[in-house]
Amino acid sequence: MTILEAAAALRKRTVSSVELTESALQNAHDLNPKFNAFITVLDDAAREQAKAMDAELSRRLDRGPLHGVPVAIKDVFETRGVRTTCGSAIFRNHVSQRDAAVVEKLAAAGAVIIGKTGMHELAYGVTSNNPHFGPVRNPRDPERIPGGSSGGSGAAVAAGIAFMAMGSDTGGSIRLPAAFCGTVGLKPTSGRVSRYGVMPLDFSLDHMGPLTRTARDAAVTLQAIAGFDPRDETSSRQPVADYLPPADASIRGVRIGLPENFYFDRLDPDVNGAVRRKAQVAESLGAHVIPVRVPDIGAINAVSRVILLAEASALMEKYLDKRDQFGADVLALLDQGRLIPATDYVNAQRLRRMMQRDFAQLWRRVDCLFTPTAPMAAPRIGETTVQVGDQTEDTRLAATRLVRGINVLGLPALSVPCGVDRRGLPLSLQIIGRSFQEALVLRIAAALEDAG
Amino acid sequence: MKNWKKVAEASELLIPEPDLDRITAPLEALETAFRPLTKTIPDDVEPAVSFFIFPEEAE
Repeated sequence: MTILEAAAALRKRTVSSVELTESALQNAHDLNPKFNAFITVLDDAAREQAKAMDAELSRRLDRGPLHGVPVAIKDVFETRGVRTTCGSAIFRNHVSQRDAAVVEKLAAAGAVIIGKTGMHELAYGVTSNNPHFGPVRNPRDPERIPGGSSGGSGAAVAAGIAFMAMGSDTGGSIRLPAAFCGTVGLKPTSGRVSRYGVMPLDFSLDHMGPLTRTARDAAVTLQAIAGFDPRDETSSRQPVADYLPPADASIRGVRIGLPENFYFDRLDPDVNGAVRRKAQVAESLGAHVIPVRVPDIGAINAVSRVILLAEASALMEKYLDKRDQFGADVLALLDQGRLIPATDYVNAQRLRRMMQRDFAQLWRRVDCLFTPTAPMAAPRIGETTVQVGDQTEDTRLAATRLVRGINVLGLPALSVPCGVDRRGLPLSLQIIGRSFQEALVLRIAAALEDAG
Repeated sequence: MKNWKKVAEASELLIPEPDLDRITAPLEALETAFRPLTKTIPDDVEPAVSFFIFPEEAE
C-alpha cells in the first residue's frame, strides 16, 4: 500500500490511522531483530497521534495525504523529549528540547511518526554497519548492506514498516539506501527543505528528503516539508511548486540527457542495461533521449571530498579527544579532514562555484539527466572492497561515485528502482534535474512507474 | 608525496601512528586528484560558502 492508497482508505473509513499505526508498530518490533531498522520506536506517542488524527478525520478536519499515515524519521532529526543519537556513541543519550523543522512540518501534515531509524554513525558512511547500534540489514537480502547513511530509513520502507521514512543526504545518503533497498529516494534542491534541527554532518552539503515506495509518495511528502524557514540560513524563498504528478503524467517532449562520459564508464553490466532500458521506455513515452557530455564529475567528486572532510572534521573536532567513541571508518575520515589545509578548503569552494556554472550550461540542451544511482547492487555487510565490472574498488568510493557530486552542485536528484540484477538485487536509476525542478523529476519518475 | 605524518605532528594532532598509516593512502589519492584542479581557478572566482549577517549580529 502506498501513502496515496492509505490516504484514500482512511477517507473511505475502510481503515483507521490507529489500525495502520498498530500494524506499523507491530512490524517495527517484529522485524527489528532481523533488519535493525530502528534505534527508537515511539509506541506511545504514535498511538496518541493516530487517535488524534482519526478523531480529526471523523470531524472532517483533513490535513492532506499524510494525515494519519505512519512514517519514520532518521535518527538525525531532533525530536523534543526523545533521544536523537545520530547513530553515535557520543550522542547515545542526547535528548533534544526542540523539534526539527521537518518534524514540525510532518506533524502539521498529520503524519504519525512511529520511530527513529538506524543509520551509519554520524551519517558519515554508506554501509549503515554501525559499531554502536549494530548493522542495519537490507530487507532484500539481510546479508547485504541497506546502503547509507540513511540505511534504517531504506530498510523501514522496503520492509513495509513505514509508508515513508525521512533521510539526510550529504553525498548520496538518501539515494544509495533507496537504490540498494529498491525504494524511491529524493534529494531535493539545496535550500528546498529546512535543515533546522537536523544534526549536521556538513554545513554546505547536507540535504533532507524522503524515501518512499513510489514517486507520487515522494511528491506528497515533499509538498508537506518544503518551504522557506528563517531558522536555516540556506533556506530558499523560491515558491513551493505543486509536486504531485497527475494520474496521466506525460513526459512527451521532455529532453532527457544520457551522459556519454563518466556515468556509464565503470558499471556492473546489469546496471548499465537496466538504466538504458529505462531510457528506452522514456523514449517510447514521447521523451527525447539526447546523448550529452557532462562536465568532469571526477573533479567534482574530488572537490566534494575536500569540502566534506574539512567541514565534518571542523564540526566534530571538539569530540575527537574521545577516540574510543568513534568507529574505525568514521575516525579515519575525521582524521583525514584535520589534515586538509585551509587553502584547499577555500579553493574547493571556489572550484564548486566554477563547476556550478559549467554544469548550468547543460540545461540549455536537456531538461534532466538519466544516470545510474550506484555502479553495482548492494554489497555484502563487511565488504570493504567491491567488484565493479573488471575492477576492484573501495566500497565507499564506488558507491558514492555517481551521487556525491550532485550535492556539490545542489541539484535535485531522485533515485528510482529500475529492475534487478542477475541475483535479484534491486538496481536504480538516478534522475538529476535543474535547481527547484523537483516537479518535473517526479513527473518523469511517475510516468516510468505508470509504464510498468 | 606529502609527508602526512609530519603535517600531523606540526599541527600537534594526537593521531596514533597506526591510524596515520591507515589514512595516508586515501589522502595521497585525494591530493593527486585535487591539486591540479587548484591551478585552473581564475583569480576572480570567489568561494561558494554562504555567509549572512543578521542585523543584531552586526550591531
